[in-house]
Amino acid sequence: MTNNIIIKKNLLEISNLSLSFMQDNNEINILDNVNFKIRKKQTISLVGESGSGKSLTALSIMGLLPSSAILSKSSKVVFDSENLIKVSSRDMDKIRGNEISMIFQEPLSSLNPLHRIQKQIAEIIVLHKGNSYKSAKSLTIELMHKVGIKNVPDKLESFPHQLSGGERQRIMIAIAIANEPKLLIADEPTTALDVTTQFKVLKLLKKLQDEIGMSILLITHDLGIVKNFSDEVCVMKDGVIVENNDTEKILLKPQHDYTRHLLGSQLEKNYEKDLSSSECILKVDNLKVWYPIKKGIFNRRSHYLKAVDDVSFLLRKGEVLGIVGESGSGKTTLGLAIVRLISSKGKIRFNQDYIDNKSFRELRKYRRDIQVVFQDPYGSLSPRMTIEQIVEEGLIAQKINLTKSERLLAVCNVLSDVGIDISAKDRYPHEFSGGQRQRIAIARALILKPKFIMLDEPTSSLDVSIQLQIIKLLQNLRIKYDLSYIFISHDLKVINSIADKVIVMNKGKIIEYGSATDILQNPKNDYTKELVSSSLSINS
Amino acid sequence: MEKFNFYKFSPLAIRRIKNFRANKRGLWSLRIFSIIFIISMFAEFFMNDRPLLMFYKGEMLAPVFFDYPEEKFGGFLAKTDYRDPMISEEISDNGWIIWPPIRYHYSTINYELPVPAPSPPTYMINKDDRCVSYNNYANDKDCTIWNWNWLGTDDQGRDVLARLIYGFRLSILFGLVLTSLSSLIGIMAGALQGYFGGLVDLISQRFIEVWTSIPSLYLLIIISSVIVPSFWLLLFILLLFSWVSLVGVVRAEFLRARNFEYVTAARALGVANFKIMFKHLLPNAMVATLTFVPFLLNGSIVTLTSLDFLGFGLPPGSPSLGELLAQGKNNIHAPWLGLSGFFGIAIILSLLIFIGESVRDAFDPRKIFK
Repeated sequence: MTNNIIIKKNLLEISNLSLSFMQDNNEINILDNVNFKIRKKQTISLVGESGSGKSLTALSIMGLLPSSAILSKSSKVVFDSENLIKVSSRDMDKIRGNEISMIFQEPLSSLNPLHRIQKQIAEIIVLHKGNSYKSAKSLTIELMHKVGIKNVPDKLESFPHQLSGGERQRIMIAIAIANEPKLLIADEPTTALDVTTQFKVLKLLKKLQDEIGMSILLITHDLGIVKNFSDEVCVMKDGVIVENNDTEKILLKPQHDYTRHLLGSQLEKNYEKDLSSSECILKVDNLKVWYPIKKGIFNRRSHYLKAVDDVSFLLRKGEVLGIVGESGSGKTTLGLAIVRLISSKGKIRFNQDYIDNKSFRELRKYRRDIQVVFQDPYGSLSPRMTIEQIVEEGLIAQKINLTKSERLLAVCNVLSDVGIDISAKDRYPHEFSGGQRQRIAIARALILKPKFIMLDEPTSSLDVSIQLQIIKLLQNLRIKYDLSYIFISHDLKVINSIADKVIVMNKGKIIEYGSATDILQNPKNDYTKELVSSSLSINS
Repeated sequence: MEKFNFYKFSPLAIRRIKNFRANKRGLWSLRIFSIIFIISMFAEFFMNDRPLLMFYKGEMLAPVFFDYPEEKFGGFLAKTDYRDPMISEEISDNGWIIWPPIRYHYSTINYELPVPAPSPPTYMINKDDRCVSYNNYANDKDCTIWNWNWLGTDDQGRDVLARLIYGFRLSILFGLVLTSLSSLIGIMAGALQGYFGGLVDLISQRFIEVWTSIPSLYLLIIISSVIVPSFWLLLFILLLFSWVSLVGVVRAEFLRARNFEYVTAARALGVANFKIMFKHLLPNAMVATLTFVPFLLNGSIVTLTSLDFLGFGLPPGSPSLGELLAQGKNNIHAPWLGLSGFFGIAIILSLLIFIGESVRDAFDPRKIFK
């Protein structure tokens, strides 16, 4: 009797799900005995770092696993009292997109670039409800209103590339909920979006959940999202669910070490120093990066795209200046312009010298003191060079006279500074994890003993616990070598944990500039207020 | 330690070699090609009208390396004709001779032809008929398998097999030199355009468009009707037009990769432009380039062959596959000419394409997932 009730209440029940891949005749276990349930109208989130098997769990529910995957015999995915693993692929087609829908991380690559929005939404209605495209149109428009798209008649005829990231994700949601599914799987639905958009999209999902009465399986690595949007949490590590409980209980009383580790990885400010008396190392006055937009056959400059417009600030020795803003706000352009990697107008003074009018060749000697670390640790290391070659390149380029063994010593010193085992110096970048690569990139910047490093989103593509490690490393290096940083990020939590001063940028202009604690705790400008309120923290 | 690193292949290279070896067709093509290539490189030791080594009156002589005047052996020519029965008898009476397996050079004219040139392959003629031109007929000591024309002779009585192998060597060398020079120029031009972009790129691209629209074949025909082109002149003229073929690929690779973060990072370190191009960008472009090179090589060989076929190629008398094909066309009654020429060129080109194809597959990064 009681048993029956439980079965009725559970929409999805995953039991003993084990999954492995064959590689070089070795069986590699990806998922090991995964069990969890989703009740009706419930939001359950699956949390873990990259590579923990979150996405593969979702794909095995959808029956979309790659053909090389091997499911164990005892694996069961029971949806509405039907075991989806045993369902034929034809019957599965009726369930996918109809009863279970999915939203993916990258909205641009999930939409077909050659079809208009109207057709992409209508397709799923036609497919599952048997309507004609004509009759599906009214439903399409209704859906677009529902997901909060503005100016619907125009957008119907748009192509995916003409929409913003947030709009694209809304379209993806419209497609996913078109047939009012019982279960929506959202695989990192907001990771590729800006904070403010992220917040809006998640709120939209919550609203739609109430309207349609669907359950949501939310896959994420962001505990801030988990806290604000989910009822229950499954913490996953190396293909095993290590903890499964109500959100509040997990956040307040984590049982498993790994959950505690994840929660402990939240960023906090732990170092402050009075810098008002220290000397000014970099001064930027009225910096502008304008791209002309040419029109007509005579290439008339009709107007300019103002990527960075009239920006002035100064950086003191040992100071960390955070630059925040959404994507497209011009923060990366500003960063590159300061280190003279793209051309700009305006004065840039480094120590006593103006470097804004120096040629590439003249700049070379300043490069020793000004270094850069980029966002993507996979893209910033040349795949064909060993770690030693990558790190020592600066020494060679700056023509610092060192013998081979002295150079090797310098490389080893800097590698141990950033916490990379020196025995790894003969290996290639692809043998390292994202966090290790970022350490190597920092080592490359550090070997020249710069005075100032421009960090362009150095932690954005890393998992939370790795993020924390990198921030700690940067903090230690800063204290050890008295470095100044310009720290560009869209993540207010990161900025809050390291920056002394903050610049908030929007559309190429400085909106607010001042001490980090002031701006992040009592924002004055409306835009800053929105940014701060959208930032989902587990502490708030 | 340092030394070991030099010889240590990167895991990527090991994977590529593995991939290449997994493709049986490519591997066998490479093996067959290498054998033919090595034989043709040392063709003088395999098919020549001079003995490799001989012993004459207490003296060890190596005619394959040195010219000896004929008066040494009782003749009167400035260079000894060792195929002359009188000379060879004189030498074997006073010592011994080691001949190459085939006693014809590409320029040797066989005066002991059983039928007027072009004569068919020797094995197609019975023993009595094939020795009809020798002094002692079937009993002549020179009428042996060593003097066979395995693929017959051409219309001037020269051995087709010898001409084929020497022609193969000439074509491959021509192709290799032309390909490496045009890759060198093409890669440099593409690299500069792609890396600097902007106006440099715009001007060079327009120039290349104009340049490629010059009909190179007609230009060649005009030039060779005025002067007889030598190997190097022909190479130079063809080079003028063939360097453009790699520019597009390399330019695209450089355009793509010049904004990669590791390139920007190198710039931030103050690495000089040319060093960035060489160290960071070229290895990327190399993959795309390497896949094109075998096809470029084939193209060069075909161009040379077709020019020779038309009679505008290498100077007369040179062993060339195109000239062999032209002879085949003019002597329909002697099918061994056309067939040898056809199979000769078809086999080289197929081998090179198979090798090129499997090199391309070996470099394909998507192969990992198989």
